[in-house]
Formats: sequence, structure tokens, C-alpha cells
Amino acid sequence: MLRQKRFQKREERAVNRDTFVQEEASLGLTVMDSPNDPQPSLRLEAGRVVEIDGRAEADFDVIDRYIARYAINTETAVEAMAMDSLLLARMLVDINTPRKRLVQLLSGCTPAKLCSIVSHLNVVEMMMALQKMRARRRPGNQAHVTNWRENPALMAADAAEAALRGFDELETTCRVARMAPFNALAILVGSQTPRGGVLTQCAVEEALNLRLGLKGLTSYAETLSVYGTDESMRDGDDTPWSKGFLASAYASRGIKIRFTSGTGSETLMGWEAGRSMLYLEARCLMIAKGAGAQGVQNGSISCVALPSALPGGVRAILAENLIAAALGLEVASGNDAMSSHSDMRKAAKLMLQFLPGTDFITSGYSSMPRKDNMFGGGNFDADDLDDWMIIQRDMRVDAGIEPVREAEVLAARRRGAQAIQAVFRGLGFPEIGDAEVEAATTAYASDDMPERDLVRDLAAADAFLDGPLTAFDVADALAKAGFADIAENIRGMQRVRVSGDYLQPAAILAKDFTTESAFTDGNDYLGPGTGFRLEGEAWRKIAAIPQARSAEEMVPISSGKAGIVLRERGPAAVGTEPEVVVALGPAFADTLDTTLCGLSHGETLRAILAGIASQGIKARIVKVFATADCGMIGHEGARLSGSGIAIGLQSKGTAVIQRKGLAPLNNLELFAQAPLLSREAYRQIGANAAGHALRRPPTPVPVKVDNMARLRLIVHALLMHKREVACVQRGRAVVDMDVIHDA
Amino acid sequence: MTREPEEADLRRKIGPEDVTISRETLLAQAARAEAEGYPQLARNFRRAAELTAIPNDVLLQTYEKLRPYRSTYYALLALSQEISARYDAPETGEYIRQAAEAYRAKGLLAEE
Repeated sequence: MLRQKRFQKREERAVNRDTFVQEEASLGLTVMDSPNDPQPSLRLEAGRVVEIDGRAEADFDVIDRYIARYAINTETAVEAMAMDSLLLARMLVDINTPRKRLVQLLSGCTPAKLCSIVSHLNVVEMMMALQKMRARRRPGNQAHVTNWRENPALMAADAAEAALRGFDELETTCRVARMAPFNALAILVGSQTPRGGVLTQCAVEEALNLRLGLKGLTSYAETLSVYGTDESMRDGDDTPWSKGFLASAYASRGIKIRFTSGTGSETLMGWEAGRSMLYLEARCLMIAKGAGAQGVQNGSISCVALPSALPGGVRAILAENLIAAALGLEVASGNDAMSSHSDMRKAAKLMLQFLPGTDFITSGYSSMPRKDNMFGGGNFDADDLDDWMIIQRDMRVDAGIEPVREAEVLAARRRGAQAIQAVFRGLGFPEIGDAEVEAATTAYASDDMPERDLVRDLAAADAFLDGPLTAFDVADALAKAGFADIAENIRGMQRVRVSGDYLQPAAILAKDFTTESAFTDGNDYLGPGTGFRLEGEAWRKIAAIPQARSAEEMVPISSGKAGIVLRERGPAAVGTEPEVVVALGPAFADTLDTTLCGLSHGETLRAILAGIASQGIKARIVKVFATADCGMIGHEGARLSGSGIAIGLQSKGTAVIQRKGLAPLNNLELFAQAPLLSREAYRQIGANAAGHALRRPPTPVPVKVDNMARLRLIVHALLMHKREVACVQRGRAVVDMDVIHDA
Repeated sequence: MTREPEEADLRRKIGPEDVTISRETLLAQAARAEAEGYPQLARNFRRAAELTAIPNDVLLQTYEKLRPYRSTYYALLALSQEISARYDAPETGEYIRQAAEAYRAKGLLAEE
């Protein structure tokens, strides 16, 4: 078969390892607007919902019954359902319609109505709407903290680092389920090390999850999964009623919860009944709303590859985040499971939540390398942190992670590991050695950790779970070992349960344990100049990435060793004999002394002179003071040259071969990529200029091509050029120069 | 070598029982949610307020009984009455009764 070589090359690209499938509604392979989706409808009788989306009460399935009874706000339902979906879509984007009004209206809508509203919006409009509908004013983020070896010292160190980086919530899980109590303990201790108030959870089976919460080891849960058809709900071994009960059970113990749902789960379970993924997700969100959940994590979550395989899939995922927010729910907006092989595609998808901001941009940023992520991947992980920081700085956006310095990270990691060591010692758990603490401090991944006796750890974890010890004993052990601040933070995490403020929508805790929620710090965005603005100290923090240096410290723009001394002889006259003029920039071997590629001015000039001499023609050196422009320097040189040929040389190393009579910005040969010019290249520039002077056909100078050079050195080049410009003396005539070589 | 349990006990000024959210607090949070336009959240907090009276093990057992195919219709009705009467939890009782009706209508009950 005849192949086009560029097609063959592109086949190797990461994006072509992703799966793409055509829409097929009968298989549930459609993200939005399936022909099998019902038309929106709602009928009330005496305040009771008796029809939803074309289905009468007698035919309600379990989910319809739940939505009808608990989710739909009947006070606004008649008004909202009568409104044109397009009008409601426009109100979502309209900066003059407040969030609260939209939450009221959309809470009176049916699942099909919600879908028909968002299907009018393109992704930019959805992002504008999400920016307004997000519950909390300030966006936040959640981290995943796990490791393959389930080493408690590493887990505490990773949790401490994640807390230092500003994550508001940390989530762990287990490779071996019995480790849950120790993993929950390790991230609790680590999370409270650099600051108090970071919420933690351990994703395990519901009953165990609740027990961990009751011991005070976790402060929130997001394992309450719901699905959009009765059959898939049943396969999840729950009903809307059982999940709703669980929500109340957690709240009764002062523990924050959010539900979990996402497009594609029903299709994967085989129970989508030909409906679109978004329609079923809208049903899930109304179960969550009806149960009285304060929020959800959605955005396809672990199913993300499925909607992403379909046309419009990434848009549909944004649409589900938007529907959740528009129902007044806190949204932890996915971006946690692997969504693509392609970094470009992953980043593009991320921007849909990153730029408008959500309550938690990811529902789990992998704070460790991918192989240690026990959630099965980690779309963005420890290796991607710098990219994240820099994109925040590029866009002036707070996506919930703060830049930190390596020294701070080392200190926080060591202290977190020492704290869990003290807890294990104090409570009689298997010893964590000093070597483990040190390894955890510097570790890249759990491979760097010494092996632990898993059998002993598991036995101790079992005993801890079944025994009487609670978070208060953990705090006591810490206090006794000299970690009074961490002990106090862990007690603080228990005390916040008393007030229940952090049960309210989108609640997170500041380091003084005060609550920031939709009620205390609600999103008040109403267009430019309102809502969350990244300003002042917060912006300064995001901008201050460690990679950014001040202009002065950035480049040693002069080394102090030009390797040459030049002396002015007198005004330069127009030459009369065959010669090549070498015209230098005003800062040459003066306030600058090295080219961008690191050659000293002495080495550079000697190479050019040797090249000229190799062709048996004289060279004359002049200095141009009136301009710093390479073309103009060459133009001046050519004007004075007896042969009409000159080399113009800027102090940063950019060179040009010029002939008298050419326009200043025209030239014979230009060597614009100064960073790539080696000593040999300068020698050939000299030889070529001589060739032009002697009317011999020139051989091209072999110049390396590096398209990244400009990217790498643009600030250096700018700083050097600034210095050259500072040496310019307008109106000063060109001067002949004598060369005195340095020893 | 003896440890110092007495000292540890004295030092423990607060314990889990001191950081339990109260029925009144949850009702206040429910009122707050209602005022902010979150009636479902308010209802959840009112049920939670009732559940503060229920011991941990009963809480977990009740959840288990509400999962699909775990309980008969009459077992759920009995559970509804017991929770409602014994723990002064009428909203939760009604919630369980609604589950019983839905499970009966949609075949989510345990075999008799």
C-alpha cells in the first residue's frame, strides 16, 4: 500500500494511541442529545410531581420516584419548565443574571430540560457559565496521596508536601484494603504538618469509610457513587434511598460528603438503555441534589476515556460540571483519571475547568509519580507540577496549587515523616526507622523506600481499627513527642465537627480552621471587576515560581574577560584598497565581552580575522557608535570598505555580511542566530566576506539550525541588546580601532 | 517498666464524645441551608439531626437494610417505625417508609 510518510510519522504520535469511536446511540455511544433521550416535560398535581420527561407517575422507575419526591423544587418548576431552554442558556452566560436566580430556576428543571439548556452552549459559553455558577468564590484543588508500598512515612511526607503546596483536600486509598486505617492516619498526620485545616479522606468501602470517620481519622468522604439508571444503581449495590441515608449518616457525625457520578459509567456497566451519557448524568446529579448532598465529584471521573472517545465528549464533560454547579452543588471537576496519551490533548481538556475555576479543579491531582497512584493512574502527577505552576502564571489563574521552594518541601516532608514515626512509636505500632524517615524526605517514589514487614503492619492496622484508639490518642502521642502544633491541628480537625459549618456547600478550611464555603464566601461573579480576582499577595505567590529570576541574576552578561583590548585610533575614512571591514557594535569588548553562545569577544574577532586572512585580503576593524542595529552596523562598515564588503558584528554575536549600496536592512548573508555561531562559523563568515570582496563565489557558512534557541535565550539576548543600546552615541562618527590582544 | 496511663488520661481534656455534633447544631445548619435556598440540603441536615441519637452500629445496620434486596417490605416498615419512635426521628422514619414503597413497587425487596 502506498503510504504518505507524514501520515506514517503521525501515527506514532501519542494522540494516536487514544481510542476514537463513532457515535452509535443504540449502544449508548453518544455523549449528548441521543435520539433516545426523552423530551423535557413536567406535570404537577396539587404540588406533587406526576410526570417527568414524558413519563407518567405510574411508570416512574426508582430514580424518577426519588427525583420527583426530593429533587425538583416545585415552587420554581412551573416557571422554569415553561421558559425556553435557549433563554435559560443565555441567562447562564449573561453577566447580569446572578447565580442564585439560576440555581433557583434550574432546581425546578427535569434532567432532560437541564440537558436541553446546556446543549445550546459552546465550550467558551460553558466556561463563562461555570465561572459564574461555581459555588465558592475562590477555586480550590484536591490531591491524591497513595503509594504502591503503602509506606506510612512516605505517605505522611507526601501528604505534608501536598498540604504545603496548598491543596485543600487530600484523598488516599489502599492497595490492600486492610491498610486503610494506617493510610488514613498517615495522611491525617502529614496533612496537618505544615498547616491546619486540610481535609482528608480515605476511599474505601462505605461501612469501613464511615468507621474511619468515626475514629476521627478522616474528615470527608466522596465515595457515595450514584448512577443514572435503576439497573446500574442496583449493580452498584445501592439505591438512591440507601445513598441518601448514608449522606445523612455522615452529616450526623459531622463529616462532610460529596456524591460521585460521571458520564459514561452506565454505558460501561451495560445499562444505559440507549440514552445519552449526559442525560443519565443529569439524573445522577438530581439524585445527589435530592439526597441533600452539598456537592459532587463529576466530570466522568474514572470513565473519562469513554466520552473522550466520542465526538463532543470533552465538551459533554464540561457540560456535566456546569449542570452540577447550576444545581447549586459543589463540584470537584474530575481531571483525575488518565484522559489521553497526548500531553497536548490532556492540557486542552484541563483548560475547560482550569480557566473558569471550579471548587476543586481536579478531584485528585496525583501528588506522587504515576506508578505510586493507587487510583489507577493520575492524569497529572508529581512530574507535571512545574507545568501546572507555569500555566497558572501564564494565564494569571489560581488553579489551586502554590509554587514552593525545594528547601521548604524537604523540611515539610521530613517533619511529616518524623511525626508519623512518633505516632507509630507512641501508639505501639511497628517501628518506623530513621532510615525510612530520611528516605521519605528525599524519595521520588516508593521504590526509594526500604521494605516494611507488611504482615506486621496489617495486623497492627486491624488492631487499630478494632481497638479504642482515636485521633485524640494520635494527637496525644504527637504532643508527647514534641509535635505540639501538629497535635493541636489534629484536635482542631475534630473540633470543626462540633459546629458543622464545613458541612455546607463547597466548604474548605483555612489554616485557622475557619470555614470558607458557598454561604460564607459564595461566588459573586457578575462580569468583569467582580467575583474572584487573582490579585495582591495571592497573585504575587503564583507569579513567584522558583524558575523565575531577576534580570540581573539571570545572565552573567559580561564575564569580565573580553580576551581582547581595543584602542581607538581616530576617525575612520573611506578605504581605497581591497579590504574587508569588520564593523563592531558600540559595546563590543567594552561593557559587553561575550557573545550569546559564550565565546569571548577576543575569540570571536580572532576567528573572523583568521577567516579573512585565509583568503589573502586585509581586514580593517572599525567601531560604530551611532547604532546598535546589526544591519546598520554592517551598512556603515560597507560604506567605508575599500572593497565595499563589510561584516557587521553586534556584541551579542549576531553577524551580517553587507555590500555597499544595499539598503541597510538588505544584506548578502545574515547570521541571526547568534547562540548557534561557533568559533568555526565566525571563521567561515570571515572567509566568506573575503570571498565576496574578491568576487569569488562564496561557499555557504554551515550554520546549525535550532528552532528552540530563540525560546531559550530570548531574555538573555534582550538584556545584552539593552546594554548595547545603552552605549549608542547618536551622531558619533565611526572610529578605526587597533587591536591589542590580551595575554 | 510501667507506662503512665493516669497522666495520659488526665492530660486528655477532650475526647471523641466532646466533639460530637449536636442535634440542635444540625437543625441550625438546616435552617441556614433553607434560608440560603437549599431545601434538599436542609432536609438532609434535619435527618442528620435525628440520626445523632442513633448509635454507630445501628446507623451502619440501617444503611445495610436500605441496600437493594436486603429487607422485606414489612421489615422496612418496622424499621421506619422503630427509628421514628425510638430515636424521635420522624423525618428519617418517613424517608425509610418512602424507600419501602419504592422498593415494593420496583422489586428491590428481599424475598419473603
